[in-house]
Amino acid sequence: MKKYRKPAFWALIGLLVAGFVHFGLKPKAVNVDTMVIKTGSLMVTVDEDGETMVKNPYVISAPLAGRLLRVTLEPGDPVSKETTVAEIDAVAPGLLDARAESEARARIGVAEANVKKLTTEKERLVAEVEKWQRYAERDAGRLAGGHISSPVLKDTNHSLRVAQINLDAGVAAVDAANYELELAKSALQYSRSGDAEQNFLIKSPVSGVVLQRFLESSKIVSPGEEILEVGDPGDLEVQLDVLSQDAVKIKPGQRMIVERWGGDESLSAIVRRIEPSAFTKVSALGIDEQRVYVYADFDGSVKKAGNLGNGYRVEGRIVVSEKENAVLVPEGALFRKGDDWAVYIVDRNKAEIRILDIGMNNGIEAEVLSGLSEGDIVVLHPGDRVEEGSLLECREL
Amino acid sequence: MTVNFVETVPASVVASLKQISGVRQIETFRAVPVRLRNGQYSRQIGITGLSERRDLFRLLDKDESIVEVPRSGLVVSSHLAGILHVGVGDEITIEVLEKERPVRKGRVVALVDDYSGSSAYMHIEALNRLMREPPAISGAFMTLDSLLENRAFEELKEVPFIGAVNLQKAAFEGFMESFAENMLQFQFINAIFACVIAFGVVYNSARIALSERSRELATLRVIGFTKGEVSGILLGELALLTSVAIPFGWLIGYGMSWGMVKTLPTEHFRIPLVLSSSTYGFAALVIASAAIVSGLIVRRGVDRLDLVSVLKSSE
Repeated sequence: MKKYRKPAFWALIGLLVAGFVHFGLKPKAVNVDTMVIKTGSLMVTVDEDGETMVKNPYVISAPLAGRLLRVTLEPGDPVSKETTVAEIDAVAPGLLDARAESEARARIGVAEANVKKLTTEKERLVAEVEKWQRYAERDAGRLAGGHISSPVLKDTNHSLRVAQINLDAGVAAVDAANYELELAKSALQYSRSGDAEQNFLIKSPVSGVVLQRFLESSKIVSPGEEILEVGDPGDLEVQLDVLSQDAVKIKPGQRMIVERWGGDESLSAIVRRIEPSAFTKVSALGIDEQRVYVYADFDGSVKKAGNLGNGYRVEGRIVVSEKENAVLVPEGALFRKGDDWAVYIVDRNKAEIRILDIGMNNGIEAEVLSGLSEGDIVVLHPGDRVEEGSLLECREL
Repeated sequence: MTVNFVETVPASVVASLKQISGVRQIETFRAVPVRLRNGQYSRQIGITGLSERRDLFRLLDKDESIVEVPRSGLVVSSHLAGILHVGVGDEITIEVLEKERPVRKGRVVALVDDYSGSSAYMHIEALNRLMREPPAISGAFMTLDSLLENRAFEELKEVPFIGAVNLQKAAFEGFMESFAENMLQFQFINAIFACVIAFGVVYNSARIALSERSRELATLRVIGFTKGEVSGILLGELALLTSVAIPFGWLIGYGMSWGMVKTLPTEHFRIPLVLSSSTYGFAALVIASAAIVSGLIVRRGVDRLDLVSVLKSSE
């Protein structure tokens, strides 16, 4: 045994040194996060903010001018079809009448004076025409007799024509003045107080609930002034505005997931209409955008959101494409190799490049058409430190 | 890369950002300047509201595990928690320093270990609720398709409300080229000196061992032991001592590194202690090589021992 002590000792030392060499000089492994490739469903959505809207709101406005009586209905009150929602008192107030009447009388006076003046003027013009007619006859005779030259006759005829034109204008002026007199007389008639009439009752065209009240206190209204908006708050739709580049991907019938309405569950709606025209909107980032309104009808799930009202903010996510059973790769694992997408897969703790063919991509995951299969392990965010053949220290996420 | 807006904008702008060429992943955040207060301790910092799905910006605790941002509550860097004397579960006052300047209370629910600055994080929805505002964001983290990078930068420049674009890669390269490069060069020279000193110490002890025992070793040679056997004694002792010393050296080295890391950190910069097996291996290798080379030199000394003078020495 003693014989082997020395060689054994040196063998041990040799082993130790070999150990130091191995650990001291081995290449450092790169720490990476990895993920296992799975199959699943992939959804590409267009996400935008929107609001709920009552599908058919009715704005009730004043059909005529008058004094609107105080509106007692409040937003939220139920109304049924044909119930009276507002009343307009058609009696005009006395004060306004007196002034209008005296104005009208004054205007009649002006019109009568005008008629008189213009009629007098017309008489003068008639006389002018008669004068020039006599001259014209006389000169015609003189020319025939050779006493004057033809230009002289021409001048006379010309003057006659001018006189006739002036007369025509004068006659027209008298006509106009007479017409204005008639107008002034009728204006006086209309500004007079009429007989006491019944109040005009405004009825609701539909059953539902008062959505908004624009006027509450009694006031004078003019025709067209908005008083109330009524509608059925149970019949809601979702209005989103999307970028035109997204609108081309949306079709009626697509599913919309409605979130952030205030409750925990998400609701769903079906896209009904995408408007054909876009409008310009300046985004919050300061750039001009072309946006398109998209409307979607809630399905039965909206009953879960009993308190959802008109004009409430929601977030709509329209599913523009979907695929079941796709091989999914996390976006963070992808990088460009030339013109292709590639990933690093982990093969016995070493990195290996794989070129992939990618289909749909929703910014979080992408569909792998070729290059990877379920169960492969890929490196997330490889960065600059990982290369083909690099030693890896993996942590699975 | 990180995109910062000039001011807070509604969260719906994310759809517009997605339209920029080459945008792959996009994760939004909101930053709010606040003063965190716990009794007499306070600090002015920014709370960053992070969205739920995060792949591009992650919070790590001291074991480098991912910390998920909970639906409510604050996640605070452990350094900041130390300054404010708060721990997990404690309530803290949040004084918002912008807009309406509300004063609210929050609870610390987790601690993270980040290495620069003092920060606090919340779920972005919790932050919006704190501010009593509808969803808003101050910026976004994005990844770009490298083939469309230049086009993306052109388009980003056109957006009026984007205030700053930070490329993580560029920032990293900048840091490496300036600060890191300097530090590494410094350390390299230090390491060279360490090796030289180590070599010197090992060689010195070997030579002294030889000189002290030259008479005994020569005597052994005279008696009849071979050169190999005699040098074997000396070198064996050297090898044994070195092997035993190396683990102690590792321990001392670890202690020194730990001490340095503890004294270096400032509020802005903290460096974690990272020692891998290759560090220990390399250190041991340097000493072992020094021992081997010294051993070979000393062996020649043994071979050339003056036998005659030993025989002649007076007893």
